[in-house]
Amino acid sequence: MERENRVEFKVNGRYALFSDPINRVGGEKISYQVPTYQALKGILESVYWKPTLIWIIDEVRVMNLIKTQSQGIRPVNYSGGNTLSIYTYLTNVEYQVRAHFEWNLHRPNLEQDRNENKHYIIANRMIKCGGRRDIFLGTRECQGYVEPCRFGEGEGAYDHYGTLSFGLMFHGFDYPDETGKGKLVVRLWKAEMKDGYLKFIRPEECTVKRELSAMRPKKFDETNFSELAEL
Amino acid sequence: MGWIHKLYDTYENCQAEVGMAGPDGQVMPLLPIGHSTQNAQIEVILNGEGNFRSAKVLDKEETVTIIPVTEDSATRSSGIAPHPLCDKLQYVAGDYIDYVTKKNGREFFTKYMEQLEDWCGSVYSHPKVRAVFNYLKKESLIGDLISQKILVCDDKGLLAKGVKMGAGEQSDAFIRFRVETEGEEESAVWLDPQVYESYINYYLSRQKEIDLCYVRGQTIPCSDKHPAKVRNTGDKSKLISANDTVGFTFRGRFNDKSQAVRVGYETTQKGHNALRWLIDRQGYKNGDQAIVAWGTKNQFLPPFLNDTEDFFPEEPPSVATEKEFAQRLNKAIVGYGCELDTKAEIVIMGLDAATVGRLAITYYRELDGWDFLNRIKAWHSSCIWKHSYKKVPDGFNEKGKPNFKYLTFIGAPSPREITWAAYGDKASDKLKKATVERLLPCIIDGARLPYDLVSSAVNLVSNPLGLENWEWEKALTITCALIRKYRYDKSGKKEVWEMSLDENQKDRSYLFGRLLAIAQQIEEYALYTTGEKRVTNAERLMHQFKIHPYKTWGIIIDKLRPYLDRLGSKAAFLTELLTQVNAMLPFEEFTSRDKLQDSYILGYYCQREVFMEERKQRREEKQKKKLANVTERENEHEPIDK
Repeated sequence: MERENRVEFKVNGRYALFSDPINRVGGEKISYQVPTYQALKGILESVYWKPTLIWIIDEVRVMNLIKTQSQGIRPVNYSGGNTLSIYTYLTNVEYQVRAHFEWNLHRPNLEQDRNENKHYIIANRMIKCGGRRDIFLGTRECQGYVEPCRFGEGEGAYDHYGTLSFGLMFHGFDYPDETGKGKLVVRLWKAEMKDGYLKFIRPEECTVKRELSAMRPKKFDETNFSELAEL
Repeated sequence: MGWIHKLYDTYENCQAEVGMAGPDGQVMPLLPIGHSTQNAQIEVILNGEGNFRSAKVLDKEETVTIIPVTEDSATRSSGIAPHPLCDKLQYVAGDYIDYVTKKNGREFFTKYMEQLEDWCGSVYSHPKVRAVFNYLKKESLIGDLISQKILVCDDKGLLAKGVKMGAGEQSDAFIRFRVETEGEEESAVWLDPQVYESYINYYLSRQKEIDLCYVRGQTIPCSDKHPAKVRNTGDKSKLISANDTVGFTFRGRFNDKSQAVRVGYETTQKGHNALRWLIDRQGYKNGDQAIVAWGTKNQFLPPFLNDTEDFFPEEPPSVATEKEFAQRLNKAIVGYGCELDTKAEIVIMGLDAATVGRLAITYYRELDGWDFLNRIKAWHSSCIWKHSYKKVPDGFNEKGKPNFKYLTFIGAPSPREITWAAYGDKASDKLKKATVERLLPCIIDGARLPYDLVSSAVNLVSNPLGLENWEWEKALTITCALIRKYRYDKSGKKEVWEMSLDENQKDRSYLFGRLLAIAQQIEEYALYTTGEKRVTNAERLMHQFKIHPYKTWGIIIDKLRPYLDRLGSKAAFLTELLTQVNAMLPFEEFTSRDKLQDSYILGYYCQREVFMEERKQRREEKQKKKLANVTERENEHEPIDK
């Protein structure tokens, strides 16, 4: 990798729900106040992703005041029928995100795909057109919209706010195809926002981790992966 | 920071309060971890060696008992899960089966004794607990209680059925113990901090499952069973539960609930105990809904869901102006501010349950102390009007019953009153809850007042005949406060509508409102002169007037004719005022078919207030004159008396 292939984009939506796992298991979801690393990574992966590369989220900037709204929901039961829940969503959110990609070194068979310029240009083009797949903020029902932007531009609601600490938060999952180890690991971190900016630590810098289960990486080979030359 | 972490911090900061009941004993204490509360019916008094001394039935006021619990016993529903120390008869009495026929009756006692023996045998045991154990080993509890005439037998020698003890049968009575030892003051087992500590240490030492706590980020003993009874003692809803066997809540990458999340035993216990305590002490409850604001260091906060008057520690001055009110509010806020240090952390949390079993957090905010106070102040200085609906206790009458008087105050009405003014008292609980929830962001986040709320209140007030007189008066001032607040926030222009009559105000709706008030005054005056009492046409037609002001005004004026004739020259001043106000309305605006804006209520109120003030003054003057006459006459008699 010759340079840091950095992309910047803005994502907004009317609702967002980055659920706190503590409440989520019971079914009464409540959102974290800021997006998690994994949620933003997921958004970027919906915009553009190949197994060749790993997206690393560097930073997010919270543009609007953090406001919540609770809604009565009728979720579905396994046994059929419905139950009642109250979900608490963030409303009217807008985030500026800065991220870059790195090669996934655990996929040696895709080495010939490591063309920095190509991926960088496609990624930017995909941001411009709003992403390859649809975007959602945390949970599936919260539709989001991606646009290019200059990171740090414009006025944010927390510009001179000082620090806001969110305590221990979910950071993301270590999936086997990105770590090369055959297990699923959850990462937690202590999040702190300064003047609206939340600088993420890199996945491997997270110290609070918990191993969940054994998991094997997904295979990409001739059967489910085609190169341009073959088309 | 997450809600549970904040609660955990609060608990740690309030360690000194653990186990301390409030001054009146009504408020639930901050429970030690591993403990819960139960209502006991019988108190058994033992001596230090574990011999029976006496027993008594507890009065209704003193039943609340702090008991140690295990995770299983705290959440038991059916099945056998004994509490470690105090429990129902069937667990603690070895001779239970001799008096009550029950299948597997013995098993309860066996399980209970095994558990208690383990505690007594551990290094953490306590002499009082050992005394209880030694006594229960004798298996003579029910026999002793019968000999004390606390329990009643039937002719077969079994416990009589249908004898109530508290809410349940006598065979279901809950027992607590008191151990009296020489030289020790505290004999109550359930109030002894050393017993708490003994149990906590014992229980923590028995915890085996160690995992990462998602709240504190440390590897500590974890728990899957989280406390219920958050909002009240009968509350079955839980904040943390695992529900994936029925709902799609986390399945996918996780195999079971313990993969999805883990929370430490101490973390959840302390967090829940703190929350329970806070809600009981300073929470706002509205049916199922509970809202609580607290400082993590147990600071004293203004009751932000009350009206402004409740902020002030002292009685209000009899006549207050808006300026005086602002000064008072400032003073009160500064007063509260003194309690908070610069780094005070304030949390506001709203809880509600959609179903019986699960509790949801519907509102959550963290603010620093001054930010919180400033936001509250902003609400309480913009959503204000002069109210006189509030009743306050005023001494006692000759029969010793409390007297009440109405208080006139300037300030913001409470969310409860706003809901009442917007939807009347027949509104459903759901609507009431939803409204309070919608008002929360207006108070805490400075959000704009939802207009439907304002317009609903305006509509309600526009129909005076639909309400009792006092109801209408109350709704009127609250509506004025809402209109003022809404107008203040609207489009950021910060319009300020005065609480007193603004004679230069050229707003169409305001002027029409004034006209209505004048018409009402004329008619009321005319009715007064002949001693009649009935509803005026202005009140009757108010709602119509709001929708078709020009057309309805014609009708009102027509109907006013005979009253003007009756009054003759007495009405000269009022007719003059009428023309004067009317002249301020340009012809196009006067004849326009547009309906009136909400500000007409303000015009109506202010004009009416002027008349009422005049009437009051006239009455006072008359009273004064009368008094003067009386004293004059008395003075005349003086020489004779001498």
